Amino acid sequence: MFVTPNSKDILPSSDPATLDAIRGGDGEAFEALVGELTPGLRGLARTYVTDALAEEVVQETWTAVVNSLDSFEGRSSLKTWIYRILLNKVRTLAGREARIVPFAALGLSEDGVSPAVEPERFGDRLLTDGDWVIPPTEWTDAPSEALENDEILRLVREAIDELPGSQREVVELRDVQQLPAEEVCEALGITSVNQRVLLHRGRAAVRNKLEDYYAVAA
Amino acid sequence: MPSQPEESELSDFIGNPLRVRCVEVVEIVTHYLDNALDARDHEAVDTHLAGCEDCVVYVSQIRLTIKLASATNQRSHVALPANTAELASLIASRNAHP
Repeated sequence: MFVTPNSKDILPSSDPATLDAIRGGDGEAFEALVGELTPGLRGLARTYVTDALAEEVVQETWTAVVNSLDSFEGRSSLKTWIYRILLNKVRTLAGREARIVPFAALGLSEDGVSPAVEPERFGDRLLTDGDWVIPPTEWTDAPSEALENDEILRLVREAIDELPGSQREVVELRDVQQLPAEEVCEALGITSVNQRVLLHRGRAAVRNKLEDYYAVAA
Repeated sequence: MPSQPEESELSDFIGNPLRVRCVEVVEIVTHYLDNALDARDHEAVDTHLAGCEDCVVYVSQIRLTIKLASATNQRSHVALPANTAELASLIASRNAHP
């Protein structure tokens, strides 16, 4: 599904030489890093603020990167460090206190777990306990068609934007930006358990929107 | 890159690995796809999926949801931030003033 970079086209953010090159005054190495990471940073910022403000936050992030180059100790990856700078800025701008993941944002109601699928769709009798009674139906588009369908992609984008903040962050970083789980945990400062719970709540909610869409379209 | 689960996160989710229920499967799809279930639970889900068409459909729809999310990532907006050149010069000036 994804092309693994070989040694010749390793991404600047994954290349251990990048940081030293930039610290040593290599402006081109810096521009290559900016070129690689800016689309993802922009996408993440846009889940919080308007496009114009997102652009400002991205610029401020790169300014902060340049100003803090010498203080970066390499305890996280370069990419994670830059994502964290952006997240701190954009969360502040969006006026959200995000140090603590609120219980509700985990997708858990106060009295327990909010399920991925409505409980009414599963049996509660002895012989059908926990089995589907209203099972999912196959969607009418083949996956390859759905992936080319602008209407579907718009719907998915809107569904992600409508997710509660913490779910939206994780879905954006894991599924849209394709960051590995460990980097997402590090960037967001959450545990791997929380990360997967948030991710699954978000994915399930987006899937439910798609299911509604295909039910109407059928 | 498949990774070993760092911990058994969800051992409570599967009550009885000998009979995994659909209502349990839909809650652990992301753990399953991330290889974050312990070996016993992962195998239990595999066994369930081998005999449950409905859950196979659900898992395939979550997989497609993930691909669609990735496909929304428009790379068309590739313009560099307006301050890139200025910052690159700042970087280059580090050379002049080591």
